[in-house]
Amino acid sequence: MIWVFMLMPIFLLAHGVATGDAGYIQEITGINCVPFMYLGAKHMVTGYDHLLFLVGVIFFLYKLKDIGIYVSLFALGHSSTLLFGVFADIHINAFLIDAIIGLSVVYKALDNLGAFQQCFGFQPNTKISTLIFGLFHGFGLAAKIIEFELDTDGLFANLIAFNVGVEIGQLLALSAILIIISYWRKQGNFMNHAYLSNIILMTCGFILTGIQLYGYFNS
Amino acid sequence: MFNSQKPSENDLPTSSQLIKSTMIAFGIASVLLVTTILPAEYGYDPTGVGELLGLKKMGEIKTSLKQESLKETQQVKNVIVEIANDQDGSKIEEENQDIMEVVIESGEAIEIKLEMKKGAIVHYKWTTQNGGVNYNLHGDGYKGTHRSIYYHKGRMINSDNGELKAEFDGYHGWFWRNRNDVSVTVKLETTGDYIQIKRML
Repeated sequence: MIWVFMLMPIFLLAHGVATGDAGYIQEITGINCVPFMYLGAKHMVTGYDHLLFLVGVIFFLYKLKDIGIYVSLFALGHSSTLLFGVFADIHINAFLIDAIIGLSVVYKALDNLGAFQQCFGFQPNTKISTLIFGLFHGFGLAAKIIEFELDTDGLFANLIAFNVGVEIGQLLALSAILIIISYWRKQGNFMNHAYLSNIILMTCGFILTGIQLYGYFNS
Repeated sequence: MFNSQKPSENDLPTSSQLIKSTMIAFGIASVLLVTTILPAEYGYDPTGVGELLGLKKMGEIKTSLKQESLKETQQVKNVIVEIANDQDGSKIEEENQDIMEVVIESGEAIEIKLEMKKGAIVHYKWTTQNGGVNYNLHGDGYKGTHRSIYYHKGRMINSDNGELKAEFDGYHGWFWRNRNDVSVTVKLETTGDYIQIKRML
């Protein structure tokens, strides 16, 4: 493992020029709507933290109307903080935000398990919690964009495009998750597996949090 | 025990609905893969849609950055080894002055660096003709030190000047990339405390 870390600075800083998506972004100027839309969608589809949270949110939802409401609330939350975070140039530590996003997965799994009813005797409003965690996810997206070092020229249009892309990516990922869960739900044993599945979901949330906290204390 | 009730069979989609959904999902995924993802990631654009959307260029830039990063890392290492080897007995001049002019073809990049001691100061000025360049002023330590630093950078800039103070012993200088459709000339003037000036790429 050590040699990987030793090589990294060399690869990343062959000329201080970044590679990959960040490298591309730093090479271009002006308004680039479709590329930024693509990057937004890519970030969502490949961002397992967002996906795990979505799995938690729609785990017990099967009516399209409900799914629409919850996903819109999540989108409303992360869109507002994404735009606000970048324009106000809010530098919240990316590790801390991602740790909170990991905890949002834990929260949602506990919520699904009925833990809050069991322990505190009441069910916290699931819509409000989805909106609030959406706000945190948005700060995470904003931190990512700030890392990309976007050109100020065309920033607004590019950001809107990125945000639209995030929603497209969310829609695509959600459709795939929904199809898989629907197959599963049709098996009679879905409810039997639901307990274990949410425990696994919670475990993943804790792992994500742990990774980010390690990063926070070691960077 | 859950925060939700078991759905009734009527609320769930039918098997044929699900199969239809899966087919649609597969179809959408295939189309996206060919028209947007492959162009945007690898610059491979069999349908031409990627180019239309401006995504093919993204793939091409990413691929070329990656290749250059691998290739240049090797070259820089070689150059640094070479310089490090003939370093013995080199004279250190207090004040050096150079003017260099280079042509950068469209899409290409070049790099010019100064060998400097820690704390040494150089005044520089560079200007371009025919268009701006993306630049990056950075430094690398001698072989084996694993030191590198980036001072500042910019996009589509026509000129820059200022003072460069070396953070450590090594090679400090400019990486310029021409993203215009035509070739660009960069003229660099340096004055100050450096051992030698060298074109790395």
